[in-house]
Amino acid sequence: MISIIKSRWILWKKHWLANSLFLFLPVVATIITMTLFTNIQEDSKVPIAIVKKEDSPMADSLYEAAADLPYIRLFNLSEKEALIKLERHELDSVFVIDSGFAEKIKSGARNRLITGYSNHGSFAYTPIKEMLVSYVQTLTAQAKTYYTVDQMAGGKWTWEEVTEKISDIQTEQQLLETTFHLNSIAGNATNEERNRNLWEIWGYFMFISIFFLFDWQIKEKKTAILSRYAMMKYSYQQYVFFHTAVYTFMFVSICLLSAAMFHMLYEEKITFSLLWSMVMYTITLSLAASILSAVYRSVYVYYWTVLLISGVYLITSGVIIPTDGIVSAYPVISLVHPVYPLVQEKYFHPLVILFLGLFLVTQRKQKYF
Amino acid sequence: MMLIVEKLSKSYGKNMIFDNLSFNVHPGEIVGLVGENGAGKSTLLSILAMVQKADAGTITLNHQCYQTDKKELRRQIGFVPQDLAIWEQLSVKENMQFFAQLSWVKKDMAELKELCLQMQLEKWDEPVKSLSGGMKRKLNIAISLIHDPHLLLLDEPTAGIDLKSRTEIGRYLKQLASQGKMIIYTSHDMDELRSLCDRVLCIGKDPFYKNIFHESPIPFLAIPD
Repeated sequence: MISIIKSRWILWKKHWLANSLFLFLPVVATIITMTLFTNIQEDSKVPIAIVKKEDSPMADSLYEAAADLPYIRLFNLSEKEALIKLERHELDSVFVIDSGFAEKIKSGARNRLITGYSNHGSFAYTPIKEMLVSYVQTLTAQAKTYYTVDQMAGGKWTWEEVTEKISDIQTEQQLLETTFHLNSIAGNATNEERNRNLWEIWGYFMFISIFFLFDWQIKEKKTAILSRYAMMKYSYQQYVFFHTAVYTFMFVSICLLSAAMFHMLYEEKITFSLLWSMVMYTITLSLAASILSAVYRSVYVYYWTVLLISGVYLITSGVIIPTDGIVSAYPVISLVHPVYPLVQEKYFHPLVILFLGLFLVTQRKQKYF
Repeated sequence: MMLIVEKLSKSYGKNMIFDNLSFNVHPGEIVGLVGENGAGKSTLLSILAMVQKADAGTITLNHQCYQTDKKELRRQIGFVPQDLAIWEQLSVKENMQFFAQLSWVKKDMAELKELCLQMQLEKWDEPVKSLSGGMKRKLNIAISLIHDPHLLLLDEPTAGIDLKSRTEIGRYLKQLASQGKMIIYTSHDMDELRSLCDRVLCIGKDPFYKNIFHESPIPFLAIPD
């Protein structure tokens, strides 16, 4: 096996730059793509301004609740500045927390606490308004609770103690947990979905890397050189078998590197089932690439075929368009597409057995020496 | 230690290439193989190199049979194909290293370099693509000799190269024969065959070659039609 690795190294180092680029493509391209996605996501957030005319913990908590919303880019401006920007369509909508906000809440008042402004182009005004109203209702409910407790306990507890206790109970028992969505914006990213995207993107670039690096089998299929294998220690079938194993081992190393990098950058939880799925995915693709490249004699025809397959892979993988509906309607897609077991961490996949069988059959059927 | 070919036949479909071909080659002997294009010279060499199979007949090398001792015989045969079986993008050194890694015997760098120097192939670190045709042919032969075979089969090894390289290759082949190796050699160059070969084996149906070698001082073995 050492001699196989040494012979591979002699050929590999002649094109070390291109080979290394393709080898590390899954790690580098996934990180670049994820960074681009994050930046685009940031740019596409709806600009909203909240004007705080009062500096109180309640006004601050309302502001922070709005700031926590996904797809919202929040600005803290003066009222005049905010309204000018709204007129220029630089802001989607403006909400002003009027002075006396905290006092009004404590006194149980619910009207005219916040003033909202929108223009004819505002599309996030209504959902943001609803969110703020909902939050204000929570605050007024806290006020009501305080007065009830105060009456029952006879001034034993302060306002801060009661509201703090309410918040603790809410957090512990998840009494009030509402996720606000902007229905007009597709895809409300949860952590799970974000992780799924990461592995779908990585899976695609792994596909490109493996299939393009497996062009060695076509390049090394020179008729004159093939005749030499009749007199060598390894037959051509053995040569292909061992070199496929070497390449697969290299790609498995890239799996481990990817897992380590994504753990560091995106705090991905690396589990045994995830690593196992990555390794099985890589072995599946390596076998498929070896079978495909054994069929071709021209590298250019092979490259075009790989690009065509990668297009189909991309469309059906869910990277570009959500495919959940299609997959539930046609479950066969998840059976024949290697990326689904990867993202669901569900390997063992029947494709591995199929490709392993095909690989052994194609190697035996080849009329080489 | 000798090569014995008995009643060898080969056809492609209905086209009979040769039939009932029998000959033998002794150690230290260089046997030339001649015949018109399509006579089956390359096919015969391919069969002797185990790249192709014969339809009928037996071949034994050093008392080992081609049908039963294939694995053992692979170590004893060197084959120089007609086309250059080398990596153009690699240097001479890298080519020798690559094929040495896949060879039966382990040879260190000094031994591989010495093999090239014996063939007057001095451009050790040069990329193959920048070498002359003669140098490439020498490398093509050198690679086939890495595992030190007993039987060396050369399919037009000097085609299209200059006289100097041709002479150097011929000289080296004679040197190999003097060490006891059996060499079978195809060529269309009569002068080369006359100067190099101990015997000439003529296959094919064209009487031209048979007439030429009948007049030659070299022992001549014509295969009956």
